[in-house]
Amino acid sequence: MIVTNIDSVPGKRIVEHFGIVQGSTVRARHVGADLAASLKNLVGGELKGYTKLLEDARAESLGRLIQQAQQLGANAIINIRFATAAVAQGAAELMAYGTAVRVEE
Amino acid sequence: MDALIYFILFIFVGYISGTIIEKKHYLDIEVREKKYLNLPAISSKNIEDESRILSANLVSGSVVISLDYFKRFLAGLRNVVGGRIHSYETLLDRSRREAVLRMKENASSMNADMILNIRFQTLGVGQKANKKGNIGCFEVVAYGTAVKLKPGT
Amino acid sequence: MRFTPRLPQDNVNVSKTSDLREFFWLLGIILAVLVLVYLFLGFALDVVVDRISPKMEREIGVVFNKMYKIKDNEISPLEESIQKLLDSLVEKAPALNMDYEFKVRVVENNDFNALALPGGNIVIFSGLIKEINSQNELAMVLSHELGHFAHKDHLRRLGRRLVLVVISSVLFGERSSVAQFMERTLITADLKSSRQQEVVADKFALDLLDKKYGHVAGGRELFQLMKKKGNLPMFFQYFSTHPAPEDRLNIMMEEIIINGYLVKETIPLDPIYRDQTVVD
Repeated sequence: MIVTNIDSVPGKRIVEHFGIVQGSTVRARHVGADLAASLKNLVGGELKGYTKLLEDARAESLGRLIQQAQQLGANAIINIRFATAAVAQGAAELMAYGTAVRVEE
Repeated sequence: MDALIYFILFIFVGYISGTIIEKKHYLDIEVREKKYLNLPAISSKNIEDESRILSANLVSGSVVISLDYFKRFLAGLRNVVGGRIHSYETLLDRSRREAVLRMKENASSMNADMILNIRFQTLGVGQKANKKGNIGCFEVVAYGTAVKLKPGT
Repeated sequence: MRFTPRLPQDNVNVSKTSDLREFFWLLGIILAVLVLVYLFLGFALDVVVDRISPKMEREIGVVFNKMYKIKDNEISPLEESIQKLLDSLVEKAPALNMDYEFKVRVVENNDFNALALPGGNIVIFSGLIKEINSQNELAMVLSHELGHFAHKDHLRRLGRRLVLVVISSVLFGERSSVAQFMERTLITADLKSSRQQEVVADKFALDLLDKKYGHVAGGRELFQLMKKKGNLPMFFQYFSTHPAPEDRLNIMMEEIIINGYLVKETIPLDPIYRDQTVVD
């Protein structure tokens, strides 16, 4: 699966498209990470727990996006966008969306 | 003590009604998705040859959706342990598909042939309205450019 | 470029797990951990309570005095009369005299209840005074609260509440439905020990009553009143911090027989108790 965030796949020709595909997940960290984060707020610096939370979530949403494109029979996703929303305290929603296409040499 | 009984009642009512509403909504979404399947909606800008485009118009679809008591409580529990919040996943999935469908309905009422450059936005609303600070209510917006194409390929 | 309309075979954005199963799993695990932490902290608290000095307790008590709008120098004739009874009871329990300077206050409230506050203040609700019929019953109420002071139950309970609030706000945020639920459940988990405290205080009260009057009339009447007033359905009784009045009555009757206490005539209340003039 080729994924890009531009309108084309360089060096290949888009022959067919299947419409929009999306992948999303909602995740929370455990209480320990939340506590550490609130302490970190005092001194500043990177919140490693939350960085990890968002990284994991982003990877999963991209994975789900790819899975959905595969189900449609695509071999590439172009123009991917990520969006994040805080849906509750300590929880984050990560979504990825793009256009599923089939490309040829 | 009374609070515990109310709590069990809320959870029970929330679970039953939430499950029924969700099932209904999914069935409805599936039917409408089939109906609008032939209207392409994509996130890219330049997939069409621009000379074929007759007219362009902004279209959008939005939905505000809320969680039931059971799911909100479950999310609260999940927040302690960490991990995937399943109860929010269905909510967001449903609302996003609903927003896309409303956008498509909007576009098809304009007799558009295609929607280009779709963007999504999610927003927690009503945070001030519920004093408990738990956002259980979202607005999802999908917007894009509906275009009409010259007839014939 | 061609468009091929296709729908995905299944929904990849939603994990295929059962909400209900997740609910019971999480609830079970979190509750179990919480109950353990709570009980552990509760025992740690018992150790701390024994080390709290009377002076410190009086300082804690100031907060509660404010809560019940208790002022030091305003005393109604009714309170004065109850105070006399209280002082005569305290005289018979010399151990208590060392630590506290007991004061009684009547608070406008329709509940049939009395409270032991940190620092030595005893609050009696006007709803209780309206119902009781004899001086002996009032003495039983006062002695029961003195029993709580003797075992420092009031501090123990306060400490546990504090622990509870801290745990639940750390885990669930200040005011969420989860926090409220967990607090309720933990209070339930602690019921056994608080019911035991009540029974011990009842026994203490009977003993004091016997020392004061030479018999224990009034105790039984008080619980019969309580039974009449607090007609809780069975389900609620299970979750109550106090044992059911009927059980308390039974335990007390046994206690009377075991210790060979006498039961004689009760002393009627002074007319002042029926003339409800209560300071705000």
